[in-house]
Amino acid sequence: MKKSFREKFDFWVIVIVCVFIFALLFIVYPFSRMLIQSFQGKDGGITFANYFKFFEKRYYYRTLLNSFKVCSAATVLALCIGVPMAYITSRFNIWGKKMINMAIVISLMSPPFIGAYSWIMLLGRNGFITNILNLIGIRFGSIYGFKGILLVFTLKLYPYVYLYVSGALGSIDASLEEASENLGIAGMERLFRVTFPLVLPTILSSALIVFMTALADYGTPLLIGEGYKVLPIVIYEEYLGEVGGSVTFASALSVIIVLCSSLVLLIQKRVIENKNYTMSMLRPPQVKQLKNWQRVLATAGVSCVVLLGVLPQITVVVVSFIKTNGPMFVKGFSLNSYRNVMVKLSRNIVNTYLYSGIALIIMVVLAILLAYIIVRKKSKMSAFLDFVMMFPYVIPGSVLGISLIIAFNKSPLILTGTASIMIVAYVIRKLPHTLRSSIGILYQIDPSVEEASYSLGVSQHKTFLNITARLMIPGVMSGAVLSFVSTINELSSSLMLYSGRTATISVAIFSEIARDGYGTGAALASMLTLSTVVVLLIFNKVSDGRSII
Amino acid sequence: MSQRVLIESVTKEYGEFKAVNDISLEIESGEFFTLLGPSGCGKTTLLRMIAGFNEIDKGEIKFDERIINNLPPQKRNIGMVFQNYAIFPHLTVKENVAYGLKPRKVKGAELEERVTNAMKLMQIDQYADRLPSKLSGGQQQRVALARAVVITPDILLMDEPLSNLDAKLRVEMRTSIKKLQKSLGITTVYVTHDQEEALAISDRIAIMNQGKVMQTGKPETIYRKPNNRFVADFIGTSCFLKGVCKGEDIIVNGKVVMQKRLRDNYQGEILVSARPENIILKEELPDHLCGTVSIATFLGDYVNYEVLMDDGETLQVNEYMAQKLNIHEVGQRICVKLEKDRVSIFSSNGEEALD
Repeated sequence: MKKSFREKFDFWVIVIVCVFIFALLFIVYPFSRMLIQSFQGKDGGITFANYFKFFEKRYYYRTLLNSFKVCSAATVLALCIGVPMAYITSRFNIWGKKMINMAIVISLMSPPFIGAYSWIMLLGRNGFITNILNLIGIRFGSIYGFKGILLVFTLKLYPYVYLYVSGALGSIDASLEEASENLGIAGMERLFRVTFPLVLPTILSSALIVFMTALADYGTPLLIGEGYKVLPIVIYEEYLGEVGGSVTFASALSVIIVLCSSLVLLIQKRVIENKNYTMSMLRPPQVKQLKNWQRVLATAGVSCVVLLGVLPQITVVVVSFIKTNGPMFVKGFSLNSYRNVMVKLSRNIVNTYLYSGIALIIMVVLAILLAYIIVRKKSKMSAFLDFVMMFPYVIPGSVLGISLIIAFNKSPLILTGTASIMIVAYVIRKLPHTLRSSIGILYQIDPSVEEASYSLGVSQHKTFLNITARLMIPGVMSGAVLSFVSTINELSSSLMLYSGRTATISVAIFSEIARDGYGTGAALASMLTLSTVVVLLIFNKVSDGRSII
Repeated sequence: MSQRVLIESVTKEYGEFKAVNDISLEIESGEFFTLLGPSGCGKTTLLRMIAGFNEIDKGEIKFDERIINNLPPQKRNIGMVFQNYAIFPHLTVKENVAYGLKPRKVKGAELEERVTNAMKLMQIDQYADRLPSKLSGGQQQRVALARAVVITPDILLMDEPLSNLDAKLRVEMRTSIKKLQKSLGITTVYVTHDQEEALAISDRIAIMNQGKVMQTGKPETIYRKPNNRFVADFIGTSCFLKGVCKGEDIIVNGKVVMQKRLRDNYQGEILVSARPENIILKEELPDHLCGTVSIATFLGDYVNYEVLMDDGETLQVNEYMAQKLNIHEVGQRICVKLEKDRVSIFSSNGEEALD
């Protein structure tokens, strides 16, 4: 009697089983293997030695403290910049809002460590601006180390805050703010007593993303950090280090960083618990008309920040056209760098788009199915899948890479060095964007639309294909764009997983810069930036102005 | 063909909570049957059990002789109209109406003809190629109805179909629904919390409360002879007076207000229930219940009085202008008269009728 509807079985049970196997195989199993490895001693026995080593040696535990310091500072700064920017652009009639939004998304989607690389080219020891300032006799301190990392993180990650908070500010019912003014609290006080508290959950969610992304970043501190070591660098060194590296120790470090980010996630969840307010959106917030000089001032202020954010990309594009002679830049412009790329690195380009494309298709299918299971087929199993599929969110790319290698470097399933392992890593790591947006839109689709279809005689899976999936597409696509753009720019897991044949553009940028091939590196980075811009433009065209996040 | 719906001792449990508690109903073929009750009474749950969206934990539901407990919704051949219309937003009006014909293998000219007829019947044929977002609420409702009836269902289910429409349209639509139902002769189960709508549209009504059916009957029976205090209170307005029955004397507040022989010659505490239009006001009436007029509200065809009785209770009384010319002043001393055929008498807990 309980299991009455046989139709419930056929289609969805199969889907749930498949997704469950996928999650076990590519998330639970690799991570468990890594966890077990971290407790393995040199002789193969069980030991806590790896963890003791970490907490005993200052060299190691300092990297954790460093990570926390620089990530917290970057989060605070990103909030200080992102929230006011969001408020100004959403509530005042400044010029060029579309351009500003686009530029901000582009600065978020920059290729890996291009930020660090460009800032070094501008402000580093031999940087463009540094040299000019030196000429006129101005000297300033080094931008390497803590300061440099902070600068790059802040400028790259404030867009998260901006995009999230803009969205939330746009959905506050104007009458709440009017009620506050009517009761005598206006201006700045209203801002802090009504407006910001209402969007606090969103502010904190964006802070979490900033913190997590910064914590997982590996390229930026490597390039600009110099002596300032953070945890991901040590993981990379320990894993791939030529001298004295140890896989088991790298595993232990990985477990530690995952625990830390899980802890941060839990704390954030705790804080925003019960703070999600539903508001009846009767009147959208009004855009305030500024007087001309105010308008100029506000636009200029916002533009300055935006410009700083995209400056690295502009630098890279310019550099990519500078004539080179071997590793040296010479006067004049040319397409040399692009020619080199085409000759030497066309395989990387093909790989990048091929893998990202395949990963995208898998992500979209998986996200739609998973969202349906999580929203419409609530059960212990769906809660478990929800948790497991969101888990990679707290795993830095390099850690994910290591765990996949540990899991799939011996038979029966050898995937290391193949394209599949790269694609698997991309799918797991970038799925959460698409999954969240798919879940979001599914909650907005009234189940009675599906019930109407059933009662008209259409079976479950046909209803899903013709009605539900069809109606979900706009929401799925907005997440998929984000997934795709961040997949083509993905470095940290690629770096762990690539082999000669499967290297991608971001891997090539990394090795080019390491070999002082700045010109080719810049050309590759410009290609990624161009792809990002093209994808975003297409998205904007198709979505008529829907927000990407 | 239109079918009977038999609901036999049906229960729906959510943990300890019984949303539908051992309900049995017989809905005749071609009947317009309404489930009426306050929100949370289980009426929508019961409807969704008939539709197949909620599983039946105990009991059976039959269409004619066929038990449909385990039949998935898509095989029940039911037309359903949802509260929020549930029109497919990505399909045109015509595609929406045709949607249910595809799984029934209706094709070509026959499909065209049936879709066109259904759209004409609901007067939406001129919007055939529009998307639902370009339609008004009332038009969307018509699309939902056309889509539900075009498949010639055995049973038509409607879940508060009019609650999202404005008052005027609601009255208009309920008339068209009633006409449609009568012309198709289709067994219809209709859910609403609006008593006026239920009285206007139904052949029979089941009043529900807390997962149970409180009373089933024709609209006028339910209004005139409520089975218990809940029904008397929920349908229309009723005033309740505590009293006792001694012999055949009905005594309220020490006064014998009427003579009435109760069922099984019941003696003891009772509850007298009277509707405002059935209470008679007299300026002087010795040995009756008296009080003062506390509020008089002029409503055009009648005046509604709130009378504060001497024992502190408040009574609602309506006086129709067609029979009366003068309006009683606030503060005026007034007495009330109850007539034995125009009151209901319940047990003191209000759960059963004693007359």
